[in-house]
Parts: sequence; structure tokens; C-alpha cells
Amino acid sequence: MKFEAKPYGLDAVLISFGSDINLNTHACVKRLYHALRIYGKKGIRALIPSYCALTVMFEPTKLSYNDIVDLSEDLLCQNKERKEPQYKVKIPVCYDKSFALDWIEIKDYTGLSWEEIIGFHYSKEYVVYMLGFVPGFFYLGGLNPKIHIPRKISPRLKVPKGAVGLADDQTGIYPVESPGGWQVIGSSPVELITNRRAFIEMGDYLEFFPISQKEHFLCSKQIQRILVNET
Amino acid sequence: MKLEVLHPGFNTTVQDSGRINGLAYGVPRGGAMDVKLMYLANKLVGNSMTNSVLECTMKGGKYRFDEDSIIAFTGFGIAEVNSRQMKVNSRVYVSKNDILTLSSGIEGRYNYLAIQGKIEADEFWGSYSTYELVKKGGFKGRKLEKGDVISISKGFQNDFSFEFKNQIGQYIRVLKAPEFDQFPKSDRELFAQQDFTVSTYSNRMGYRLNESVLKGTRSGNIVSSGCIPGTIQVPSSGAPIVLMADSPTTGGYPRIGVIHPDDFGFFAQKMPGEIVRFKWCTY
Repeated sequence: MKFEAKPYGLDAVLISFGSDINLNTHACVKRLYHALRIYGKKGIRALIPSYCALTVMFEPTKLSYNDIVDLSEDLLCQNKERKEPQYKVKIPVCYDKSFALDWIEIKDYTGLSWEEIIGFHYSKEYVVYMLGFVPGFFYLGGLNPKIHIPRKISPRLKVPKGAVGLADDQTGIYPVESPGGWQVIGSSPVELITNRRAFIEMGDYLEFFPISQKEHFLCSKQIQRILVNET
Repeated sequence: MKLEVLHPGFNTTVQDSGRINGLAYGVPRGGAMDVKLMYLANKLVGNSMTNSVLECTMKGGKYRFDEDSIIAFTGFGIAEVNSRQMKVNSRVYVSKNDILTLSSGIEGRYNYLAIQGKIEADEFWGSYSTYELVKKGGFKGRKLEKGDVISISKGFQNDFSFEFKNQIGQYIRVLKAPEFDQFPKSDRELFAQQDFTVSTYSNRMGYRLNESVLKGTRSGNIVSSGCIPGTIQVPSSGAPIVLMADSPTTGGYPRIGVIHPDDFGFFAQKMPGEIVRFKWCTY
């Protein structure tokens, strides 16, 4: 688990495990993120995990750049056997054509039937690579190549809140109405922006499950987060 | 006590020192753009330093007080009580039904109004700062509007003492960011010699600079990773973008530097069209 450390201003360090987006690099980031979180508040102010790197913000009066580098090396060498709890998050999505604003484009581009398309989308376990962009947004890995489709040529000025989108090898949900170019395949009725704690962590598995228009309207299906391994 | 908004100003929001516990979840730091002025305003009225204040962007608006109150307006703006100019950067007593008018001065972009007590506001990830993009925190998650009534509960009053050092240097100090080494030497030198202009495309999320003078890194992109406010990104256009208080927590442009935390507020105060100069530093 070799990493490269780079100074980031007075009070932050970027710990990078390379530049390839894959499960191995992701696992390294995840291990260090959890280890530093457990290490706790002794001078570490905040952590931002991402695809291949971890941004560590520290208290310059308590720790230094070199401390963070040494600490990261130590923590990565220790308890290599340690298994983190693994969670799976399930999110309801309605794939009705009234929500799938781009269903015609997606069908034409992929040459598949609508049932096949949505089947490929929800019968799949994704990995949450990172959280960012806006609160409640997650970057997923593992979209079936059969439903890869480029972004729209001209982005929408308003993509509705809850829209589930496709863009090349990515899929995700808009937590808030915003401009955007992703091809919309459905809608989730759940609130992704939470006020205190997130419902999801980087490293979680994620699955979409299909719901009816009525269930979407009533918002009767919620997000579930379940432990999937024994630790 | 109630504060009635007679005119909301250009963009007035409730802000405090921001939130740090949501950075791993896409929740930006937020908080006052010029934290030192927010601290000063609170100190002057005897609040704890990190109490919520009103952050006024340029024109600050017009307000009526329904009780006697102690206030402070900090920064570079102009304040009037019932059309009579009041002192800025000092403690001021206002009476019931007084009307306070806040406007901008010749320089500076953000000014702060503190009122003794606690502004009733929505909490989001441990802070009362307004985060307009997702309509959360502060006063209903948005900037103030005409007719809003803000409640202020009388809080514990500290003794007040302060030291206002308005140290304005000529340069904004910048430290290395992770991709510093990937920029050509000419960029790193030019960055500290060039006069940059703050673009009109600048807000609480980021300030663009107009001059497309940097060559940039070879690839022009990086795999997105965690960014902190003050970071100077260089997209392939060669015109730097500085990430501000409400900037997204992750970004994919190479980062040449990051503004020294002590100079962040000074930089935030720069108006569109103003010239800025950077200087490399190591501590």
C-alpha cells in the first residue's frame, strides 16, 4: 500500500494511492480513512475520501505534515487483517416513463427494450466510490456497459430533484434541482440531503430497487442500510 | 426580540463559522467569507465569537428593531441609524423602532452585522450558516427577503474587548497545493508576478480570475479529490478559479496553490474588477 503524500497548504495533506479508479485503490483509501477516523480527534480536523486519495485536514498546533505521513504509514501497516463492517444501501427508484425524461434517447442509443434497460440498471450491486459535488450525491462504480450512454449534447437547465441519471460509465441521483447533462432514466422519491448524519458512506454497496408510480407518489418506500458481513 | 426586514439588500444571509463534520459527505464548509470580521462583530456586542451574524454582500439592506438592542457592523461599509451615520467596527446601542440602513463602502465586498443575543436559525450539519445551493441552514435556507421577521433570543452576554487589526497587505499569500510540482516552472513564477482581476463570475462558491495566462499541467485534469476552501484550481483555459466557503468538497482540476488561511478573508473582500497579486510563502 504505497502512497504519495503532498502538502496542501498549512493544515492539510493529500495522501494519494495513484490515479487509477479501481477497487484496489479504493480499498486503500477506505482503509486509511477508517483508520484515521478511529485514531480520532487528536489533532485531525476533517477527512475527505475520494476515488484514489484522502485529503487530511489537521490542527497545525498539534500535528505536522510529517506526523500525518508517519501516522498514515503506521496505520496502514497495523492490523492488516482488520475487516471493516460492510453495509449495503438500497434506494427506491421509479422507472415509469413519466419520470424517465430521456427514455426515448436511451432506448435508441442502446437498442434495448425498456425492460432490459431498467433491469440492467437495478439488478446490479454498485460500489460507492465517493461522496461529493453536493450533499447527498454519490459516485458509483460498476454500471453495466450495455447501458453506457454519453451525456446530453446540450445540458438541461433544470434537472428535477431525485432524477436518476446515466452518463458514460456513471449513474447517480440529483439530490437537488440543478442544471445537468445526464440522461434521466427514472426518479427516486427519497430525501438524500440529511441534516445531521449521512445515510451512506464511501465504500458501501448500493442497489436500486424498482417501485411503482403509486409508491413513488406516496413515498412509501424508504432507503435501507443493512450490515452484510460479520466483523 | 424581532428584526423586521424592510429591504433585504443585495444578498444578505445568516452565517457563522461553518461546518466541518460533513466534508466527507459532500457538505461544504460554508460559513462567513471573512471570518475575522464575523468574530469582531460578535466580540463587540458580547456574543460568543462563533454566534450567527448577518453577512451582507455589498448593499446590506434596511431593518427595524422592535426592542432596544446592542449591535455592531463590521467591515468597510456604511451604516445609518434613522438616517444618521453610525460608527462601524464599534459597539452601537439602538432603540425600539429604530431603522438601520446598511450599505457598502468604497472597498470590500462582505460586511457583518452582529446583534447581541442569538439569531433563531435552522441548523444543518452543526452550523447555522445558510447554504443556498440546497436551501438549508440559516434563515429558511435562503437569503433574506423583504418582509422577513428574524427572531433574536437574548443570550448570555460576555464582556467585550477586542483588537481590530485591519492588516491589509499588498499581496495574498499562497502555499503549495498537491499538484504544484506538475505545473511548469514558468507557471509557478508567472503566478506570483501577474496582476489578476477578480471576475464578475464570483460568488460564495468560487471566484474566477480573468487572466488566461497559465499553461497548466500536461493533462489538465486530475481524478477528483477532496478540496479545501482557498484552493486555486487551474482548468485548461489557464484562468485560475479560487474555491470559496461554499465550494464543492471535491474537484477535478489541478491545484497550483492554496490561499494562506489568514489571508482568505482579505481575498474574499475583493470586488469584481479588483486586481489581486499573489506571493508564494511556506508558512
